[in-house]
Amino acid sequence: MKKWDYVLIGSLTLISVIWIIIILGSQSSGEKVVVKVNDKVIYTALLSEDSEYLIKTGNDYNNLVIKDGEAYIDDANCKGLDCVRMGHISNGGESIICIPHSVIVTIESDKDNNIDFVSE
Amino acid sequence: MYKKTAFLGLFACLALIFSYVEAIVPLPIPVPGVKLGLANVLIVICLYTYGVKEAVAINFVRIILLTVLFANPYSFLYSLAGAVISMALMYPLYKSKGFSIIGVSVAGAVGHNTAQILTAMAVTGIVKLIDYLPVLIISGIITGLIIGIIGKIILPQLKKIDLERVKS
Ligand SMILES: [Zn+2]
Repeated sequence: MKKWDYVLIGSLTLISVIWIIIILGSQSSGEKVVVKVNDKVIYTALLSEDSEYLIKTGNDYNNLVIKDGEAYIDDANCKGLDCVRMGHISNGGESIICIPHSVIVTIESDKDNNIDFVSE
Repeated sequence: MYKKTAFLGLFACLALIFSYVEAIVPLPIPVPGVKLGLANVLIVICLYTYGVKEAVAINFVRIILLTVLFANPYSFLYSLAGAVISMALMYPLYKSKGFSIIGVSVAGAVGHNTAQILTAMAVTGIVKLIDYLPVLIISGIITGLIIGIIGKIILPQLKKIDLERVKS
């Protein structure tokens, strides 16, 4: 390895680690579950109330479940089912993303809109 | 000349197999379309043995074959973006002589992953995907290190089988 290899690898690692710490640090307690399709809000719900919602656009669907203060997708018809594998989210700033369906489910907190502003 | 064609065909084939294996093994990171880019080991070796034109050519052949096999236009977009950005970063580093094959392949792998996240953001309009970038940069560093070390081991072996004569 040459000197510049170390500079490159070292700086990339440092930037990534700081970035991850900032992302984790900006997570707060969340209250609202927001569903967006193609960057448009189509549904919001309270994290504290158990509910179910079928996110449907054309033939695409993702079934959103809110239970015991956690949100997750238990069923979908996308390729790979990555959104189902993403599991449960409960902290403000966390999200579940379904790329084939352009769906994002995010936990937001009503109080700190500034954090929300940064992440959008 | 014939020998070179045969070697390039072999490289493209191996790169395709690597991509195929990747496509059927899901990553723990739930970002569809994003792959580790292990095929880059063949591209890096080709860059060091034959040159940039040949490396770009076998990568393009790999992507075309992959798209035909999987019939997925999105995978074409992701792979193409990854290949272009990765080579755009690797080539100047390779030319500069300030970096070893390890630094070059790390830059390639990180560029590959970054390009794929940016493509996913453009396709879906989900800006929040950027949050995955630091994780993908770290996974790119690890993939790049592994690829660079493999390349470092394989290159002298290729020279042993008289690649200089193969080149002409
Ligand atoms: Zn999905």
